Amino acid sequence: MKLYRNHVLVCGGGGCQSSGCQTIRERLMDSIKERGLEAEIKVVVTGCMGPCSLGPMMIVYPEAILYCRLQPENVDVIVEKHLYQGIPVEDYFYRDPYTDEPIGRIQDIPFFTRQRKIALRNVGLIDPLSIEEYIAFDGYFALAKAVTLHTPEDVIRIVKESGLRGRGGAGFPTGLKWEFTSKAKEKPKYVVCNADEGDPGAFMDRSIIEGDPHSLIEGMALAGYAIGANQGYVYVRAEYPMAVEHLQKAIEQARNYGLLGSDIFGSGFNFDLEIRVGAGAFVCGEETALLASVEGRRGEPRPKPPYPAQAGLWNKPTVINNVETYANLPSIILEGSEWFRSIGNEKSPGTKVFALAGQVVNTGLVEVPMGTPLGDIIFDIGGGIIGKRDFKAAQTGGPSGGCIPASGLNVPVDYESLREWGTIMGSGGLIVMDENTCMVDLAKFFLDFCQDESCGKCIPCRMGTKRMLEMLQRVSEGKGRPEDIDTLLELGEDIMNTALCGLGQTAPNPVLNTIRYFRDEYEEHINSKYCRASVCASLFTAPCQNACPADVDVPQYIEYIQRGMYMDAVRSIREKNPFPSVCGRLCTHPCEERCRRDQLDESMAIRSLKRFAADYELKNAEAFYFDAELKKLPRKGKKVAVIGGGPAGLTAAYYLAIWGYDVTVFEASDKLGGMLNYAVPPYRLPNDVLQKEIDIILNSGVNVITGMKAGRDISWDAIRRNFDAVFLGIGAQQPVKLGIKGEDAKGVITALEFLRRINEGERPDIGEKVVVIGGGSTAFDAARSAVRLGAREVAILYRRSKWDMPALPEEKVHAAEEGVRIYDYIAPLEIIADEQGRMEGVWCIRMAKGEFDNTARRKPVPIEGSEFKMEADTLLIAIGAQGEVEGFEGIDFTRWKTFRVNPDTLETSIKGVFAGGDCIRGPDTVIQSIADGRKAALSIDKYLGGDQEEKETAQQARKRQIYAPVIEQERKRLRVPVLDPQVRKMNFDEIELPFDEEACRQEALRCLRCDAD
Amino acid sequence: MLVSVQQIEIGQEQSQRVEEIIEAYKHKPGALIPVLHEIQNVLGHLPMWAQQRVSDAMKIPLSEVNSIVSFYALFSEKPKGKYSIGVCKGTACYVRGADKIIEQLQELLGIEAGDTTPDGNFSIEVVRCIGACGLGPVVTINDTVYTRMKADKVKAVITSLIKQAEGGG
Amino acid sequence: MASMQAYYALRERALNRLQGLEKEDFITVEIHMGICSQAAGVLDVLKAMEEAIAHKNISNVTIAKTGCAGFCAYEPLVILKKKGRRPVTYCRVTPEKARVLLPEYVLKDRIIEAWTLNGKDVLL
Repeated sequence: MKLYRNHVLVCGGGGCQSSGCQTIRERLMDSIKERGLEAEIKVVVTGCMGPCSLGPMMIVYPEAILYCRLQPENVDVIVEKHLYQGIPVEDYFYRDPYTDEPIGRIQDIPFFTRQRKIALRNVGLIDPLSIEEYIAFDGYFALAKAVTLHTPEDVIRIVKESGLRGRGGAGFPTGLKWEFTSKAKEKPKYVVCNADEGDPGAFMDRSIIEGDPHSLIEGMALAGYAIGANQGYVYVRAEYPMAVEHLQKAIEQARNYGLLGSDIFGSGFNFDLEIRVGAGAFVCGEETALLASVEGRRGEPRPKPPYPAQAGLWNKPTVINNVETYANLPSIILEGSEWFRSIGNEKSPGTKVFALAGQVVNTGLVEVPMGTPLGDIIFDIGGGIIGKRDFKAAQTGGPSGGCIPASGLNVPVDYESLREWGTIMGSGGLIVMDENTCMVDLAKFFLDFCQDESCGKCIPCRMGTKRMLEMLQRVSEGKGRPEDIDTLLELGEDIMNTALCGLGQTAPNPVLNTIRYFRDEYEEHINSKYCRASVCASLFTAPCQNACPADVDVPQYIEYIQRGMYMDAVRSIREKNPFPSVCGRLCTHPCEERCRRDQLDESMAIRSLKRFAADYELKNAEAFYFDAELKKLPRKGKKVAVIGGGPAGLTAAYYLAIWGYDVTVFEASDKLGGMLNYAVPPYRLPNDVLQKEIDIILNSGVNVITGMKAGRDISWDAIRRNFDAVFLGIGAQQPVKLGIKGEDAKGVITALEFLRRINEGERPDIGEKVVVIGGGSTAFDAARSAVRLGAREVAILYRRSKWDMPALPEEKVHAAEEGVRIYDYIAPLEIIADEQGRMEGVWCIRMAKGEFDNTARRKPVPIEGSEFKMEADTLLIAIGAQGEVEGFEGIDFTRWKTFRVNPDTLETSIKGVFAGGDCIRGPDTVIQSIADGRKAALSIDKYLGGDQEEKETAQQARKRQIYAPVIEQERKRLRVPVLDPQVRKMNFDEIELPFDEEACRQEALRCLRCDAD
Repeated sequence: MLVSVQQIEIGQEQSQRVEEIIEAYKHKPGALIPVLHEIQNVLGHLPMWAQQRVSDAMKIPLSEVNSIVSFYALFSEKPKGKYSIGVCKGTACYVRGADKIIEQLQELLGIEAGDTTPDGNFSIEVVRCIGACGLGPVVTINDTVYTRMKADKVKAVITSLIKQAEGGG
Repeated sequence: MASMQAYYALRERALNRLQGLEKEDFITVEIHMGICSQAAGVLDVLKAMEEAIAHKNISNVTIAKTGCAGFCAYEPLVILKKKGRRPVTYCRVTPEKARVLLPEYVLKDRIIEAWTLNGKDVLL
């Protein structure tokens, strides 16, 4: 390959293109040619680089300088200064949105900049097998200073004043421990290092011994000098062979250099070290058990007191600390206690090393000042959750610790704060878990670990943990009893109070702690036999189906598609969801997020397969409509009213009708479909597709009365008198206002109103510049519709981060391709209008990342003085909507204007009246409304004496059979064909194109058939 | 003392090594565990005859030697397979799907974790955290560490090892 | 070690030796050899690099093996250091890449951006 001095990457993504990157690129080429640099500079046009709001942008390598928001004339300067003279041009650097400081290098990433290294100061920098390199960086200087200049009492005093606390977990003050041991009368004394780093998920001790063994040796020698010991032992796990090898070599080197042995630095102080290799027993991390193991006995703990400071190894006074603690000591002796206290916080000075693992982007070891907020470690340093999935919990402290939920992301990480949250620092394992972790399963995992590692000496630990484990096992299999949760809590408390050693006393902690924060998950397992994370295998058939709110049998219809039986596929979907065409286009596809194929290459394109099958039905066969047969079902002679003809109402109506009820749908407007009809623009859901789908539903024999609003055209009382049961699916259609000055100016409309007019065939005049406030699908629908109406500039403003926008990723990509600019961390302050009351712009303010809220998103906080004006002819508000819940006498509702329902039955405060969809949740997804509609239908059936639910439970065991071989080699998922952005932005035609049959069948063959196990 | 059949099969050389190990350690305090480590390194496991020798030479009752062997998870009285597979079940590996890997291995080899295949070629063990948490799920096969294991990777590795084992007789 | 004087002398010597490596045109290749890195295949990378050095007769390079830098997810990392230059950090290096990236830097002063830590968009 040809290599160039500089590479210039110019973003050619849709966003930048619309902001003029074409001109920038041409100018760049010309300018390079003018200076004759073609042979040295390579210009690469890349796809979208992501931060579209910064476009047009370019990155110059090798320096990795990011230039953004470029004007053509800037390009000449960059070519002259940077590419020709080699001086980066700071004026055009990307600026930190909060501090406004230019950040040129992408390399300045928080993973490195937020760290502060003391214990790990040499790790990764020096050759661990070279004592000279260690010495070159002041290694053994602390020991030299201590033994020649300080008395042992001085050393203890410095350590005490530094406030250093044991890094192994309990956080006992190190200096105090030394003082006790030093004052003990018995001789000889010993120094022991606990390097039995048994907490699964913690590996900092391994890293220190492997990467900087001499700092451990020096730390132990300092301890030996301070307490008057001449012999030390390092107890290392056998699972760390490389650590043992490095330490062995380092000890030999230290002996050769006279840094271990007799008369060190001519001071008369003698000290030597020996390694003891563990043999795989977690309990040996407990200090008394560890000492027993060093002595060559079974590693069983004994009661304390006496503490090792009085009677430790061979019953002699012993100091025992862990690796990280010792590794901190040389710096403390050299730099002094005040320096150390200046880092971290009052009660926990210094730093702590964390092993960041689990579902986090930047896994690895990080050393941060004590008191750093947990969320900063996970999201800034760790880079957040893999795949931008939802954060669920962070686990610290290993099997003795516990989990911290999203509400604890602001916790400053130190010994006391963690304890308040029901967990411990432990040795520093920090395992990040996303929504795919089941908390019951996690508790079971840790308890299983402790049960396995219990030495069996005391009964509470041996038998108690076994009982708890059996109970958890039952819960995870769906056989739990409601009283199990309280029994677990009681049993756990008992074990904590009566077990002999730390292992037993803390073993119940993961259970108690997960019940504390995730009790709802335990209850779901017990009451609903539901494992939301799709982990507990006996509670679901396939993760995709489990993730679907409507419980659609995904593997089943995929199998039909594999076999070319498309109508059967549609029928199978319609058993749970009467809107296959709509969901094939609009669904937020939670199923795909959980698809196990993702672990192999990419998740299945489930939604596209659904659309393919549904399209086939619409296209091919009116004759296929099977409902004619259904009509023959015996009628039950009972009447149900459905208020609201949206997805929830129509779903409930459809199922009730085919089960034999006489259903009447009352719809206030003159068309069915609810939000689908008036809020979703035709380019995502063509009107005729929706109409056909509704026709199929109506075929089931539902009566429809449109233009009839309950409470206006017909009284609520009359409905209740004339029907045996009622379903309320009135949606949430009243847009929420911004509540800022100037909102009544001309040009300000709600996105819902705007979209309704478009769906009714109107083409409103919106001027040239349009600003949309919000970050959900409605905001994106409004913005993209504005583009289609011919607006020249369309911008979406969102007050949080772009990642927090609820809209789907593909909506963001499509919008950017169509020229919509997306700006995050901006909030509107006031709408500016001219004398005629016509809006001419919006006063905005920039927001900064604040603390985390309960959903693991950062709260935006305004940056004072960052106000600016944005010109706009039209402002579209898309920040939410509420239901008209007031008109229904006797039905309770919440302060968010949603009906209060029993979550298990969806029954309202009036018997026989049920509700579902957006009117009980606020704006939510289509599939959720469909799920509610069906759930309410089942409840209504039961209420009216039916047995549909029992019938379905009995039928559930469908035979799972694999008809075609699964494609096992890596293969990317089916790409949805879409209209070209330049074409589609001119009209309202559907942007997703129809699929090729063969491609779909091939895609179906990628299914791993998790259901067939 | 009766000489066991195994000892004869083991051969003179290994038996000699065992004696040397015991000799080197026997006067050090707390030497039992290091001795057992070294013997297991030589023999691959700790057969009863070796435990008996340790007991005799170090003047520690056999029951105590055996109680140490059974207490520590790393000591094994059963021989391991030619390819000894360890699946790390530390928390980090677990939340990234170590369980699925174990299931798959059991299915591929037709044995449960903790067992050895009848031909002696493979054994599966669930091991404690090996500290490569940043790269989980982790599987070790003899001295090789495999990181970021996925279903297809497990299959590829095992299939090639089965071929090797069969090819090599 | 007999005395402080002996220590100072030794530290001086060690420092000089390390600084000696930092003369013009001398390149230090830093490789992390922790268990993570080894599991990620650093041994093969090291071998490939040594082969490349031998094959191309490169003399102004030293390979420094260090412990784990903590950035496990991106191992094997190879860091090229040269006096007065910003270090170049390559991540998830394979033997194939190793054979190329070292001679390119040493002999032609070229950096293959796509393979560096900077090239990883995940870090944005």
